[in-house]
Amino acid sequence: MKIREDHNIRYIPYDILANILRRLPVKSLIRFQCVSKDWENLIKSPSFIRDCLHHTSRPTPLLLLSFRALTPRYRFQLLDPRSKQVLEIQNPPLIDSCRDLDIVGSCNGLVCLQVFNEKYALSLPCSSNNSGMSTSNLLLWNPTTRQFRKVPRTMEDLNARHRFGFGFSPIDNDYKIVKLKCCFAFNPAQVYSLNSGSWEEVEFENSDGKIWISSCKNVAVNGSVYWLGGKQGESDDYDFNSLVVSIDLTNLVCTSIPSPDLGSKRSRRAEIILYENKLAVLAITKSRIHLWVMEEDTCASRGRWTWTKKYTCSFCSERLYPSLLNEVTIWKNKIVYRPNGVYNEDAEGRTRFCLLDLTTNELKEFVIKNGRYDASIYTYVESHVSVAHINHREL
Amino acid sequence: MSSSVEAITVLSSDGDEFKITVSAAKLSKPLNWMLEDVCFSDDCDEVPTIEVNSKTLVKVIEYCEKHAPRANSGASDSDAEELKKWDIEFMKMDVKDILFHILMAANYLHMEGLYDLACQTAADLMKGMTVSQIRKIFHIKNDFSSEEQEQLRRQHPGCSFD
Repeated sequence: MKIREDHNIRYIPYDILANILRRLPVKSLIRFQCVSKDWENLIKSPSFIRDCLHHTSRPTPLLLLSFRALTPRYRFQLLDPRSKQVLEIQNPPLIDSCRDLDIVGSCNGLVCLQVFNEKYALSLPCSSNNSGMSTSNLLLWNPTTRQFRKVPRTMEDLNARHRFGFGFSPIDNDYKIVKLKCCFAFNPAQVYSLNSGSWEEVEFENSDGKIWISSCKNVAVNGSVYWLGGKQGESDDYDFNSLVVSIDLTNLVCTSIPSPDLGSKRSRRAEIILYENKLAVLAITKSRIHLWVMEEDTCASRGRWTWTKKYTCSFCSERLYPSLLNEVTIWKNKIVYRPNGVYNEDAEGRTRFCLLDLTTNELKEFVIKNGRYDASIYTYVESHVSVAHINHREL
Repeated sequence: MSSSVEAITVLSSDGDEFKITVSAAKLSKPLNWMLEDVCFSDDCDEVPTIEVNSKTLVKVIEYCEKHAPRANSGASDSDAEELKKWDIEFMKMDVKDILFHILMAANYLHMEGLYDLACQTAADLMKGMTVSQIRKIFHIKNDFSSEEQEQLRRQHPGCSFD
């Protein structure tokens, strides 16, 4: 039982220091990079960043809200649904002058934005002639560390409508953006890797030429990105959500799996969503909302896809029905959405949100000051994941 | 507790003797191994030394004695709540004592519960500190040039570094 003789020296082993630091809020970590080069190297090391994300005392997720406004055109806020505390975030560059903006995804504290610079036509799944379409930029952004990176453009930005997906590949330890044509033939597609800082043209295996992706909304979990999609040539012309299309970010394999039972086709409305870090689909009918969850073990063994209906909630009143235009997310055990039509603002013009508890069916509302129409909602976890390329971290 | 009144004697690194009950000593893996070791048989007089100073060892033994009943038998929710409050009171000490004594002792004695508690308490105390306060506590010299420091600030526009 002999250890270091002198306990009075101010020395702390690396693993003990790392264990303390990974419990700190991101703001403190950013500050403490300035302590010394050793501390900077520790805080910026990929293994430390990974520990921070998986540590049990990691902070509860927040909601990232983007609002369309007058000046600047978009504003972002972080909301803690427990305290109702709202934090205004400083916009990254390019946002203030943009025409339009989409959040492609939010993953481990990084947010991928698509920023439209000029005139921009409505996105229809199969419109092929987009000669008048404007250019857009992709931006990777960490709202907490305020780092951002403009993703370089690919060659054929002007030719076709694209769907984007953003996610993390744990095997490659890399963040990737997938860009594919939304209709019928995904190949060739492009994949951007944050580690390499460049796009690569890829051919997905198993890509079925008749499948299309019906909604921009994508979720990323366990190294894959998922969209809702459909298949050409089936009896239903409006077969929007009969499939879930997935791209494995590590092996670049494309898979399509049947969606869960979404009810009658006419009232079929679905959102792809993350629930407890699992792939899930919300099926929304006139009076009910069902949550279908893909259990992890069935998801991993390709071909054996089983959806489990985890919860069914009902809407007590029509006014609290989710709006069709706005996005839905799940925060902890609650579905967060904006209510339908005129109810999405209160008398003073503040933006109204609903929190529907899946386990109790209890519905709570909250309003946010200065909000405007067209707010989209994402769950967001604070992190200090860097947007710099791994090969030259200087940014 | 009735079955574990038996206590052992250990020496601190300062040479002071301390008594610790067998059930409390079981919270530490190395102490537990020592208990099973031959030198604890009745005809052995050797008193093992624990390389932790007296002031820290008092605290560590206090923690062990408090947590031993729960660790050995499990506890109700109200007990757990009470223990949590006790932990908070127990950790009310200087951050340097936590970092350089309690934490090192918990690590050395493989005491998961105390280690986790000390790490979390240290983190809670450190999170609001300035860079210069941290450097003072850890005796760290600023090894950045002013250009390097400026570059770090530029990477995080609008973030506070003071």
